[in-house]
Amino acid sequence: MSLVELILASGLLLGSSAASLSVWNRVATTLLEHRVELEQIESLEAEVQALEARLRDPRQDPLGQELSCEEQLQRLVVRLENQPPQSGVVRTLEMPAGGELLLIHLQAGDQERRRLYSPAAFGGCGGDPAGLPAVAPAQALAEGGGNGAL
Amino acid sequence: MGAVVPRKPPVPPSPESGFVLPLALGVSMLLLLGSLSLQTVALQGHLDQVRQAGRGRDEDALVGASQRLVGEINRRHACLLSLPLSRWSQEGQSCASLPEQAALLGEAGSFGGRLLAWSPGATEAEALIEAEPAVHGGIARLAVFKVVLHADPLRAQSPQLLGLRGVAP
Repeated sequence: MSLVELILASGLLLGSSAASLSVWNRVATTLLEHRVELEQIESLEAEVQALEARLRDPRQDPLGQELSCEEQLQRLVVRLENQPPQSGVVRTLEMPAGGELLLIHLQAGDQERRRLYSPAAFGGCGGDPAGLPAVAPAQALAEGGGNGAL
Repeated sequence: MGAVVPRKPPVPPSPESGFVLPLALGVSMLLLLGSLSLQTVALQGHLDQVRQAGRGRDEDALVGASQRLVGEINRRHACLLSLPLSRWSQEGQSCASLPEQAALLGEAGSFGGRLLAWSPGATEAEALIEAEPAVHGGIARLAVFKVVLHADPLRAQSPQLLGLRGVAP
């Protein structure tokens, strides 16, 4: 074992150890950040699911009754306001398009979700009697046999 | 004449000579390879996370489009609810003109998405909806929604996402 060989081997080991430590350190930091982001994504997803369940909850006032779309929208807003968001999630409600839509903005850290709901899509408002069909859906389907497009 | 200097016999290589350097090289390679594989695992996890977040955004865009489309049909074109899409152009004009139908089917693109299929049953309908590409930065996604049909008066209620259908061509 010569001195030159020993110095070269030590240098190699030191260099590779330093590089590895640097990579491990970076990976550990990244993993911690990812874990936080993953928790934020999961809490947002849970909040979205809770929101959907709340809006579709059959135990709540039935949404299928005749209301104006403004009233329907207010009902949706009240339902959501009665259910505070999960901890770590900031929820804001906006009503774009002149109050015909409800935009729910959820934010957790850097992650965000945006859900748009239309009061008219809940079936309780905005119907135009002129647009109603002369036949019931089942009868129309029997006549047409469905298009089977899906 | 000079004196003849006797030459020293060559020193035989010691058994330890040349052993340390290859050992150090091997250990260094192992360390670096281990680090690289660890970083690959971390990157893979990050990609999964990005995919999960993107899927959430896709669902948001598709749910928004379904709400706007079903809301518009409920409000102004309820006669279309009982008709399969293939019969809209003939039988649906009593409540939706062809330009209004074209808006729902995406040629005008004013609802954040377009309806690709509508298959009504007795109490439920299935809708295939494509979100606008601009919403996703160029990636269009499809989703199937289940819609409950309320009979009297005929209305669609609360489109519910059944599942994503991948990227549109």
